[in-house]
Parts: sequence; C-alpha cells; structure tokens
Amino acid sequence: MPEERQEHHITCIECPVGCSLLAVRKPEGITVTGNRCKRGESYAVQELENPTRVLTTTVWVENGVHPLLPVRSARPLPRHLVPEGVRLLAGIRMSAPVRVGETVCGNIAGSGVAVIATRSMEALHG
Amino acid sequence: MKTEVAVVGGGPAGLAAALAASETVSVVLLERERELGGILPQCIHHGFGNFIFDRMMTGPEYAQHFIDRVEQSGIDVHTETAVLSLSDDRTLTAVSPREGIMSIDARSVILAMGCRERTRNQILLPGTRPAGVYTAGTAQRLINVEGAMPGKTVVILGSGDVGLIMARRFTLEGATVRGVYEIMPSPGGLTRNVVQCLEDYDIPLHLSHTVTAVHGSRRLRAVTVSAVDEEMNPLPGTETTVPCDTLVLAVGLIPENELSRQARIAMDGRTGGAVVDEHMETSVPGIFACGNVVHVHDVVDDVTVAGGTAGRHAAQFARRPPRARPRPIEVRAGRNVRYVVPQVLRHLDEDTATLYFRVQETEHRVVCAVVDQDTGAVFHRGKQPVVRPPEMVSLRVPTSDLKNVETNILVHVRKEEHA
Amino acid sequence: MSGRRLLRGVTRRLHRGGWNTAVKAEVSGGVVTLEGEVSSYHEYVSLGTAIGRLSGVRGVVNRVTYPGRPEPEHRRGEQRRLRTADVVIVGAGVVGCCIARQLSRYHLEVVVVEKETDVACGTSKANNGMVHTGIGEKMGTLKQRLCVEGHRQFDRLCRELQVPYRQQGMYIVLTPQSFASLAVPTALAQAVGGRLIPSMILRRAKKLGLPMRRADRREVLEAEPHLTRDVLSAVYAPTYGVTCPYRFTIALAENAVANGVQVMLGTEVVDVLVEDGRVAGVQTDRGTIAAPWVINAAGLYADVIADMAGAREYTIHPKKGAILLFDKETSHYVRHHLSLLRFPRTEHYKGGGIMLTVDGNLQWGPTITEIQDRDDRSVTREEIDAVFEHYQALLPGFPRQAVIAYFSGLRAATFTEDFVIKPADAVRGFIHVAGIQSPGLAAAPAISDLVIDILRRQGMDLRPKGHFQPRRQSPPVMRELSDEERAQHIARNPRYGRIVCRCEEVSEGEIVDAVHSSLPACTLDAVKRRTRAGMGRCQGSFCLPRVARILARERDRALEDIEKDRPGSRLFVGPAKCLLEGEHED
Repeated sequence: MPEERQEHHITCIECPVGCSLLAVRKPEGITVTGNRCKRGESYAVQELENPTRVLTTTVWVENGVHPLLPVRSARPLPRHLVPEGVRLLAGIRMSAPVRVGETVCGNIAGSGVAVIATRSMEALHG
Repeated sequence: MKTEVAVVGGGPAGLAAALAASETVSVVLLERERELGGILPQCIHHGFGNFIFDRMMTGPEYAQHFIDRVEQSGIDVHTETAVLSLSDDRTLTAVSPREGIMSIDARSVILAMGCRERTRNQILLPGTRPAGVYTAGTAQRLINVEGAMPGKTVVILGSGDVGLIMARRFTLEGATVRGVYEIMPSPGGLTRNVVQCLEDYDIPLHLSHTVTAVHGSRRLRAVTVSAVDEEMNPLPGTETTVPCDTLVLAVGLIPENELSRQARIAMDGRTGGAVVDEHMETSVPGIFACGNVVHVHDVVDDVTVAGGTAGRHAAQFARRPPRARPRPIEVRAGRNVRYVVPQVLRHLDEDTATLYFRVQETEHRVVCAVVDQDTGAVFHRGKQPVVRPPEMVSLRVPTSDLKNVETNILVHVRKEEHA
Repeated sequence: MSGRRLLRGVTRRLHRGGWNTAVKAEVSGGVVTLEGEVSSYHEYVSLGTAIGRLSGVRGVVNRVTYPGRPEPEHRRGEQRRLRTADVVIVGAGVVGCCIARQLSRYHLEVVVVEKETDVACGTSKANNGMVHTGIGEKMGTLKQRLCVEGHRQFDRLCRELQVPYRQQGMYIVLTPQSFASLAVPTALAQAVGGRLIPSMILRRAKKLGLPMRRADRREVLEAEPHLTRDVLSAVYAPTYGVTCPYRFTIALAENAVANGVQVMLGTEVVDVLVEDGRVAGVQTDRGTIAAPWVINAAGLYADVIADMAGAREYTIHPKKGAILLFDKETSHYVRHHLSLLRFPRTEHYKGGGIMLTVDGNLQWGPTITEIQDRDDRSVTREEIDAVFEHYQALLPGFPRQAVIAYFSGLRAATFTEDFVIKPADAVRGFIHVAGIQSPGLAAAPAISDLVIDILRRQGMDLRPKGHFQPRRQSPPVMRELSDEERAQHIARNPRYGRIVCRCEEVSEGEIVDAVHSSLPACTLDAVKRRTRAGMGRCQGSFCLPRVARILARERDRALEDIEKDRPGSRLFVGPAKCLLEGEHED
C-alpha cells in the first residue's frame, strides 16, 4: 500500500553527494527541498509516488551444478511487491539446462514484470 | 605444459585479462573452482556493469557475458585447478583431479586471485567459538549457491557493501536482521545500498558501534555490542546484549597474495597487493597482476578494465619481452590519499595514464590534483563535490606532460579554499 | 602422618584463614573433606588451595558452597544393556586414548566412553602441544616423574603412530621482565638472578638426567636473532619437543580401535554402578556397560565421575589458559621454543612463552585464570591483552596483527596440584587418573604404563596378544608428498587432486578419508582436526560450505544436520528459503 504519511525524509541516490531530501505531500502536489539538482527532485517524487526496485533472488533448480539458480526481475517493479515476489519464487523449481535470460516466471506477484535467469547452468546428467 | 600467457584466477579480472591476451597469443586460464566467474556467481544482486554496459546487471550475468566469450575463444581453460606455486622465473605448479600435478611454463603470467575476507580472529573478537559466526561472503555463498540458511536472527558487523547487501538478502529469505553495526561514524558502503538494503527494510544502522563479545557454547546465543569513541575504542558502560543466532562479519577484504610472495614480488603494504606499473606489471618482469589481488575495488567495471590492460601487455611481453625496463616514475600518495594504483609509471606509451586512488577521510568540496613536487607542474586538477573512502576515484593524466618528470609525482586532495 | 595430626593442621589453617566458623573439615586416609559456605568462588578456591598445600594432604574434596554455585547437569540414563566389557575407560582425551591403546596389547575387551562427538574434545585439543621434559615441574611430584618418563617415549611413539613430532629444543630465557614483579632492585635481581638461576636449573636438570646446558647472551642472540637484545642469560634444553596434541590423540584412538578397542562417542556416563564394594560397570545416556574395571580419565569432570562411584578423593578447579596463534609468515621470528621465566614463580605454572606448533605457527601463551564454569571455552579481551603484554617484549617489532586464531583450554587441576593416579580407596576396580593438567601430554605414555602397573597389582589378568599392531598407517597428506607421489594418488583417486581448503592445501580425498576413517569425523571440527581444513589464514571462510557439503554427502545426511563440533552446534537452521515457508518455530 502506498504510504499515507505527509512528510518523507529521503536520501537521494542519483549521484555520490547523497543529498538529504524532504518530500512533503500537499494538496497541490509534492514539494521537495534539500536537493541540489533536478534529478534529486524527480527521484524524490518517484520514491513517494511509485518507488520501484529490481527484485533479485534465487530459485531451486534440479540437475544443475548448484541447487540454486539466481534470477532477477526483467525491470524494476513496485517496491512493496518485492518481498512477496521473493516468497512466491521460493516455490518455483526449475530444471537444468537453463540459459541466461530465460524466463522463470512470466508475471511476478501481479506486477506485469517477468523474472529471468541471470546465468546459464548446464545439466549434470542427460 | 608451455604457453605464452598463463592467467591465475578465472574471476572478472582473469576473464578480462585472458580475453585481451587471447587476441594475439596462446592463453592458459587456471581456475581452482569448478566454474569460472570468481566471486560473481554468488553476487546475485544488481549493480554491476553500469559503466561498461551502460545498464545494471547482476553479478552472474556480468560473469556470464565474459564466460560465454571465453568459451568461444581459443583459451585453454582448466577448472578445478589450483596453482600451488609460482617461481620468479614464471614456472607454475598446479594440481587438478583430471591432470594430477601440472607444470606450466609461461612467457608471462597474470595474477588475478582476488581476495579473502578478514576473519573474526583477525579483529580479535573475544568470547566463545560457537556455530553461527560467519563472514559475509561465506553467508552469501551458503544462501545463494549452496542452498543452506545460516540462521534466523542476525547481527551484522560492518556496513560496507557486502554487509549491506547481506542485510537485505537475509531479510528477503525470511530472517530477522537485528541491526547493522559499524565502528566508523559513517557507513562503509554506497548510499544507494544504505537506502535499498537498510532503509527499505527498516533495518537499524548503528554507527560508531562495534561487537565486543560472542556468547553461546554450541550455537551462537547473543553478542555484546558497544558504542565506541573517536579512536574506535569501546566506551565502558554502553554495552548491551543482543540475542541472535547468527553473527555476520563484513569487516574487510584482504588481497590474496600467497603466490605473489612466493615469486618475491614487491608488495605495497597499504593496498596489500603487488606494486604495479601502468601496464599492471609487477616488480618481476613478465608477471602481471590485476583485479582485487592488486587492491580491493568497489566497481567490477574497473576490474575488467585493469584485466584488459594486464592481458594486452602480458601478451606483448610474451611476444617480445623488452630488453630493459625504463626507469620508473614513482606515484606518491599525498594529503588525504591513502594509496594510489599504479604505484609506478614506466612506459608512458599511451596518451593517458589512469590513476586510481582512495581517500583517507570523507571531505566535501575538494580539488584532486596530480603534481610534480619538484617543479610544481600540475598534470591534473579536478573538483569533486565529495570524496569518501569507500568510493574509489580515478584520474586521467596526459602522458606527454609526464615525460619530463625526474623523480615522482604526487596525488593529493585539498579543500577548495586551500587548493 | 596420623589422621589426628593432619586434622589439627587443617583446623589451624582454617583458623588462620578466618574460615573456622564457616567451614568444617573431616580427614580420612589423607583426604580432607571440606563442607560449609563461603562468600565467593574466589574464596572457595583460596580455601581449597590453602588446605591442599598442607603437608600430609593427599587430596582435597571441597564440598563448600558459595553463592551461584551451579548444579551439575546430566543427561538421563538409559537402562538397556549395551554390552559387557573387561574395562571401561571414561573419557577419550589423550590420557584415556593412551591407556586404551596400551590395554589393547592384552586380551581384554576395552570400551572408551566419551560424551563429546570426537576424541580430544576437552583439554587435549586446547593446549600448545608442548612435550615437556620435566624440568619445569615441581621436584618430587608424580607429574614430574611421569613427565620425564613419558617424554623419553615420545619420539618412538610418534613414529609408530605416524604423528609429527619435532624436537627443536627450547631456550629458557631470563630478561629484565623476569624480575619486573619483584620488590627487589632490578639491577641486583638481574645480576644475581642472571647467574644464579641458570645454575639452579642445571642442578635440577642433572638430577632428572636431562641434557641441558647454560647459554650465554651472545649464544642466545645468535641462535635467536629476533630475540630482545636485553636478554640476560638462558638455559638450553635441546630435547624439548612439540606435537599436534589432537592428531596424537586421534592416532592413539585409531590404533586402539585397530587393535580391538571400541570407542563410543557422543555417550555420556551418568552413573557408575557399584555392587558389594566393587565396580560393576557404568550407566550412560545410551545404556549400561557391565565391567569389573572402570578407569576414570574424565579430565575436567573426573571428580564428578568419582562421586558417582562414591570414590571422591579430590576436587577439580579449572584453570583457563589462553593462547594466540600467528600466521606462518611470522614463523621465522623464532627457531626454537622460547620460555620466559618470571619471578616470583607460581609453583604450578611454567610461565608460558613463545612456542612453535609442529606445523610451524607461532603460539604465544598460555595465560592462567581460575574459572568456575567447566564449560567455559571463551577467550576474553583481558586474556588477549595479557598475552600480548607478557610476551611482546621478547620479540620487539613482531607484527601483532598477524594473529590468525586464539583459543583457550581448561586445566583440570586438583587442589593438591598433582596427578592422582591410584586405585580408589572406597571402591575396588575403580582407578583414578585425575588432575591431569600440564605436563599431561608428555606424561601420557608413562601415565598409561603406571595404570597398567596398578591394574596388574590389583589383580587384573593381563595376557599379551600375539597380534598387537603398534604401527598406525596415517592417511596420505597431499601437501607433504613429492609431486610424483601426489600424482600417483590423484591418478588412482582424482579426489586427491581437488583442493577444498586453499589455505592449507587440503584435498577432497583427504576429507573423505577423514569421514571414513576408523574413528570417523562426523563434524566440521573433527574434519578440521584430522586434515587441517579450516585452520589457515581464512579460517574456513572459503572451505566451510564445501566441507559441509562433503560431510553431508559422505555421511548421507542433510546439509542442515551437519554440526560444527559439540552436540547442538548446527551450522545451518535449514535449507535456503526454509524461513519463508509458513511459521518458523523456535
């Protein structure tokens, strides 16, 4: 659920300076202070309205050199869906061989974003 | 076995070096693990390749890119092959299950063995020795590759990127991270990671704190944490006990230079790695080094670049070893600079030389400069809004200007007002 | 000494110590039993020590209570009969295993019962491995005599068992630090002590038949170039040796097993069965073993076991010793062991020093601290600081940051500070082998000889086997072989070519050998003790996951069941993602 708070303290990550931003939700829109550049302002607005993150985790894989296959979301997805996405992916079982970029899950947690393998893994047997 | 170039280590440095060398000469790549990639296969988070590929990749993807190219090249890859010794005449002895004991005679050698983690014992952490105390890399390997969950209630010591990444990883896999404790007054890793690993998950970050004792006779039961003063000594009376079953130590990386010492390569006490020139050649002619074995990097893209440099020049050396080596220009670390790599410049055969350095302390609004102390000549001058120890800085210096330097050049950082 | 006279002496001492109202003493056969209450553990120890020092006291049973005195805990005993035997040895430390091996020369059914998951899990693995010559022990004690006798056997024994043993000798040195705690002007102390003390040591050496000699300052500095320039004088003891104490114990146990002994690990004795004044066997948490002879080699818990038999003649008060271990890069700092003498001397503490392990790592220590908890295996900040403080003056410029490990061990000291090796007074067939602290390792072969002697005199029928096999074949250690030998092993078994522990160069083949040896390694640390995997610079950072995987595979267990060392020391809480599925119960 998107936050309902009025004031948000955000550390900007757009560049190494790391400005401390204050984003305030007002009836006319979101005001951002503390930023030294425009990227900071848009970052703060994004973090308030629709914070997104790349999901990275592993899934179980059979017949591979390791029991786990690393995966990631093809694009960033809404931040609040990440833990749920990881939980859902814990139930998936792939089977080697797998090719890097292969789809592991077409649409994770209703986000519309796919999850793909981030490495290739050969089959051990057969 | 004879080869022109032998590369020790199949992580990102070794892969880049092998690929660069293979464009002109025969290459043997020796890797002790079952697969190539070094530490990258367990770094499943993204943040790699931002500079080289202009997109964010995960560690495994970054590695896969180079592994695929190595497989298509003519590089002679030997996995499960551990190099046991290296002599200063560039003979390597290695062991593998398939080939037994191997002796490799190489015209030039590239060392890319990476680094290991500082251990609990090295920080002299008092207390008992129960199960449940792990260095961050080991915990990462267990969770992401081996399929075992180290514990369920976690305390992390060290806020470098590895510690921050593991705070998030443990949390996503269902554990409770009680907190991240950092002995310095500021975080050791990138701000992006503080935000996306700690703030996103409401994991407390305790700066100027450290763990002072481990409790538990069989499995970890709790740790004692304490605030510290400016000298990083525990402040009496600030101790609290934090119940936990897992302690993750992210307290530093140490370049793995066992082989370098065997070959009697000159080492730099500040980096923990070999002294290298701009070709990544060490003090022993024909032995090159690149990647974390030279100095610990923040960004893998820099490792790939260094690997390419080492590979190119190792190949050149293999084909046509120079009769004599030019007199080196020493590169010195000046004000607020902890170390600079390369430590010497010898050849000046490219348009620019890239110098990498780390600062001692965080400073805002500074000027970084490269100067000739004797003549006062300035070879580079650039402003930076902020410099921090965890963020390595790179500077390009035009080599034409350096040709007249008699002894050494100095890299220093000054506040804008004083520059 | 008559009982009455001893009691008078004890009563006087209690009076002098102010304990006469709080503590009552009883004397029987030279054993003083104390009961009552004191204010602290510290006082409890002072009391026991004071009484233990009186002449005529053979043993102190200190039943005095103090606030916070812990109740001993035990596992529940099982009733079912496991087996019968001739001899049960309680405790598989170096002494228990040495006795077992000795007994396996005879036609006897011998069982060793050990509560930990491996042999050598108590004091036997937590010491510096020094094989003392006896010079440092108090004259006239049993421990000194057995040390001298045991030391003589060590070379041959280690060759039979294929265990490394190095005799590079020791310099016992005197520096200004030796006299720092004395209330005498240092210059005087140095001048007198520097000459007098070596003479005293050499006189003692002559009495013991030890080939020691004086070494003047010039010689010591030539022999030890990194030693502090202000060394005053030294005595050289060329026969001082070192071994790996847990490999030695494991080898003894494996050889005993090869010769028919059964070693039951993870089995705790909870009671000693006595019938008609004679031992009838033991009850453990797995079942009972009927046997007419029980040898109590239970180390830190020897007094607890003795109590079970109604044969308590001593009390153990543990004394912790902490040791720091340094990177092999620093091995060149010393060539011989260095022992630093300090005055005033504590009678039963040799003072420690800078010793080399048999593998070439430097060890500094041990410290000495009275500790209440027999399970305390911690190393405190104070102990680490104490080690640095005591020994850093010996090697100026030594890189302190080269420490790679530190550990502590508890000495199983009695209040009379000597070994107690004798048949029990109150119960026939029960043999005490208690109070074994330093020089327990060096003395072990002689302790076993003495125990055999006692058994013979007590009427045990000892018929030698014709087929006793004294030689133990050590499994191959790849890093010690020539390239050709190594290649041959790998050709036959490729696992010997796969390096698992990069720091110590340990192959998968060696780890598998350890898991399938006659005394199988079941835990991570058991593998470590047999192969050195995890003992190097990175302390297992790289190899822990791989060793755990090999253990799980070879023992056909789930990865989650693998333990570090003691029961209950699981390395993992479950497979990855186990915490994501439903509620996780504590």
